[in-house]
Amino acid sequence: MDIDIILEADLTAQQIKELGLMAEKFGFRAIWTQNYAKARDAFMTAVPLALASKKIMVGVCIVSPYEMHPLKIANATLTLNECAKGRGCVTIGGGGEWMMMLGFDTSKRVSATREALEIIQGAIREDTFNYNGKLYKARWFNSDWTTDQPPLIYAGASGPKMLSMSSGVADGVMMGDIAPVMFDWPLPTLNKALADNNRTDDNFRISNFLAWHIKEDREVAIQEARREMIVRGWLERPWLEPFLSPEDTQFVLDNKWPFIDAYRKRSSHIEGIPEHILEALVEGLGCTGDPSDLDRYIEKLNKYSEAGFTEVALRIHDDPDYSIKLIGELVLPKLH
Amino acid sequence: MQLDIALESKIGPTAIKELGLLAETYGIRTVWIQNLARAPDAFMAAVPLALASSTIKVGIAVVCSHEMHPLKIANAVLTLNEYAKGKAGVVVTSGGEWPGVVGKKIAEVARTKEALEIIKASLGNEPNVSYEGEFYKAQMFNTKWKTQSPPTLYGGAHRAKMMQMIATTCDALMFSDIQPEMFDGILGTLNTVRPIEDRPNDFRLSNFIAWHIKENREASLWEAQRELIIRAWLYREWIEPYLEPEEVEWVLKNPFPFLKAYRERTGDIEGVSQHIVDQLVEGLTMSGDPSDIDRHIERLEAFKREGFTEISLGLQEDPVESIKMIGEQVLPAIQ
Repeated sequence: MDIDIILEADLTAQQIKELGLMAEKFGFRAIWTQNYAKARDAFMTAVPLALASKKIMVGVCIVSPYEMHPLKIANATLTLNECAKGRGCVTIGGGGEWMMMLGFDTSKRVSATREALEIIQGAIREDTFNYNGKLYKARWFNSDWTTDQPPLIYAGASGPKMLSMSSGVADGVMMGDIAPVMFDWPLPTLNKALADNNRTDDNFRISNFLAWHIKEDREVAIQEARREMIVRGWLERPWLEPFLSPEDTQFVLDNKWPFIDAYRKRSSHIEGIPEHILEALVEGLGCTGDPSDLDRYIEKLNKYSEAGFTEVALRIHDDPDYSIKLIGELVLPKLH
Repeated sequence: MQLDIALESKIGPTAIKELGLLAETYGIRTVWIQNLARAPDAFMAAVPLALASSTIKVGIAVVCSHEMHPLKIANAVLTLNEYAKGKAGVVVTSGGEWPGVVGKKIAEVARTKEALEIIKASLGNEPNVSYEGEFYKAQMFNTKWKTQSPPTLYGGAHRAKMMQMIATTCDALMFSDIQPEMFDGILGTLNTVRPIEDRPNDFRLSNFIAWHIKENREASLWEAQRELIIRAWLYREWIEPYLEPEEVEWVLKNPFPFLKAYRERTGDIEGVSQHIVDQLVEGLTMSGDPSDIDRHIERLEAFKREGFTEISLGLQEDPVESIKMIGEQVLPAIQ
């Protein structure tokens, strides 16, 4: 199993280049820039790394067809792929931060993502591409300026409908914040869909976005994990139930605002949420602690490998160079 | 009046950086990267130049809100502006190449107005941008990460309603392929709507002109002929000044030979009389060899007299030769 790194969205192009080249030396498979609405454009910030790197893949996650027309996503991904000499990748999703900011109706998420994936796959492979979908169209698009092997197109999917759809169209899926205790939720659906689509032997990539908060100072790590808690599957029911009692699950579902408020204020103080809930979610939904915790997280990561994941994308936050060194030196060599 | 150059993104980000830095040494004001649908992403292609340049501006032309949500356009321009240390610009329009490729309409004034209002607000100093339009919405968009003075927002237009809207919404207007023979019509309209009196110094007026001057005259004409269809898509107003009425009607009914030549990258426009081709190349482009430069400088002087603040010269093959020619022979004569 490979390990990828997902970087914080507030980094500059120069910082991303330096961190990516450092990660390349350690043998990480890919660097992903995170496409947030309140940060620099993720495709643009990835360009200097793509141009300077030699082996590491360079990707952008997660891009929704609500923010850019799927052909425009295809065009940006192909540009990144050319800069990276065939090592580009992208994750397409129906959600993410942009969609909320743009005020779109979310009822057509699966259809929009499916059409987007079909358009992107067609646009990067066909000489002249036409498409007549319910939501999107393409006319006489061609990308004859490209020279490299096609980029990898992932779908951002965790739930059954999106996973089933993605297995027929994408080159891989990137799930979000799926803990080993949750494997029985997405994996049976995905494996069945892959079998139904005759794709069990075509190197379909299975990835998971996993928050990484290991620091020298344990308290700092926990504070960072709490600050980011709302973006762990947006604390929807499937991400809570494995770690909380039914009453606590309902309590969190009814009280998300303190988590959102903490995230927006970049604070670890989550007003009014009992400590035992926070501790359970921090422990369950990421990798948090100090270096003495590494062995148990290596064990955790190996469970992904055993379950058939081809890679895990570790989302690092503050002090990214520390995290890349720690993972590169102490985690990568010990993974199956 | 200042001079800009426009490059196609197909040459790649590394070449754009090198050409932009060469242009910077000559004092050319801006490098515009053309946002075409069948070429690499223009914003991404501009990043290395933006990061490396010191004085030259870096812009993207033209972007349409059918390809990206206006907030996403704002985000991309602001990103470019940060990397260019406050020297970025963008031209937003209702047309360009992308609407056709994604199957959408052009010339939608109301839609473009909403897009420009969202982009303008996002580029400015408002801490959070919210917008409730008929076509677009924005909810609490903030750009606290930006540190530079705002990029310049151009609108692209030729028709009266669009010009009127842009004159009150944007910092600048960029025409495309306008020539002195068209000034009366188009500037007459613009001057009735743009805030000349209120904004005598801060409303910029630009025009894109195709530049095909080469050492080899034949190569120049070949390139100009190949690209003729994208000279405003040879709409009526762009061909009437140069052709007889029956020739105008003939060209309007027969655009495909021009389109075929463009797509097949050939200067041979099958079935179109050489007289028509010669007239359009002469009228709508700056073509020829170095002995033609003086008369093209005279043409640029006409733009200067009419109040254009800059002209953007679109380069094709041999851009190094073109930049040197413009930097050494044209720019000193114009400024």
